[in-house]
Amino acid sequence: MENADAVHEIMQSPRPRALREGKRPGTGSDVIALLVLATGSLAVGVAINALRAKPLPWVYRSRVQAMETAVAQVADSASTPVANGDPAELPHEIRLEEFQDFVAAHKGLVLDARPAVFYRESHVPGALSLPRETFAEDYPRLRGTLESSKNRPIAIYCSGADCPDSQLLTDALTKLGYRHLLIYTSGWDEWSQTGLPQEGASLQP
Amino acid sequence: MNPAAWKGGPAILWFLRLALSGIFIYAGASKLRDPSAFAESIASYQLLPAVLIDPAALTLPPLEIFAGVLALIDGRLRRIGAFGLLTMLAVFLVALASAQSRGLSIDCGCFGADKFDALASTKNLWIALLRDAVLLVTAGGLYVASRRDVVEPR
Repeated sequence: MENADAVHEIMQSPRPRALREGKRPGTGSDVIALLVLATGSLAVGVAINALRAKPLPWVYRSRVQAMETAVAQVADSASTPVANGDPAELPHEIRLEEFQDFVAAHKGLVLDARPAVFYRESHVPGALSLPRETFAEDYPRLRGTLESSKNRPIAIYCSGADCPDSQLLTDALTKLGYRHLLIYTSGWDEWSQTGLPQEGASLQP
Repeated sequence: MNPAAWKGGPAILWFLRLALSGIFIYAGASKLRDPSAFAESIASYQLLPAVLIDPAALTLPPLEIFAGVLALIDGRLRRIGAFGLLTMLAVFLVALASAQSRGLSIDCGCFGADKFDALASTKNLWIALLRDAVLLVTAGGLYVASRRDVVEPR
């Protein structure tokens, strides 16, 4: 029974004795392990990026630079004149009441400048998705609709007062010759919090 | 009271581990949703040259998730995970403090797009700094605890 007692004692001790007397790995080994982990994370990140519809480029380009390139592409592909030096009408910022009225009375096109994933979840009824980040790909898709309402007002919104997408999209459309652009500044945040009607996949039963 | 008889230590450590790992896994996952917004956020700190911004934006979200998961495992893996969380929080603290001292008016980008960050989306970096400091202390404690557990056999 002596043996069983010894086993019992080992089971009760907080750690096996061999481990208690062993050597602890130093901090240096943690640094090396973290570098390995970071390299693996980069590899995983690159792999995920390669699978994306719109991968990040290797070298960072700001939204403004990316948008300028997109506008040039769109203008090239259909010989749309890029407005130059033309005194464009300043985009007019509108508040909720005015935007609500605009939507309800179908006064013109409503564009959602947020990434498509958010648009699919839910958006302002009747709004079209023209994400700022995929402008070059999506503008040709909507070209007919947009150009046929070039002389009607177009209202643009993104996620809220802090998002730059409405402004960038407005700048791009201004360069392409659109004149009557309205920005609903408070955007989706205010619209969704006010309990106004919504459309989108998240609302399907 | 005999401190050795108190059995609450492991429970508290598990609570802190779950909280910290949960925050990091959530943060990493929310950044994966919009990589270009995260790259913009890194750029807004004006700390990295353009060639490093996108690689950093690709590396950090998986690294946050991996370190968060490892910190929940056992032994050596837990220790590496805790070290990773501690290191990231230290780097973020330096970046936040630097941005704050330069008076930059930016979002912390801690949870990718601001809509996933309930606390620090008001361009108020003090909140993000304070939160980072609290998490840093937690991660430090967990790292020390994980070191105590890891012993290599001779």
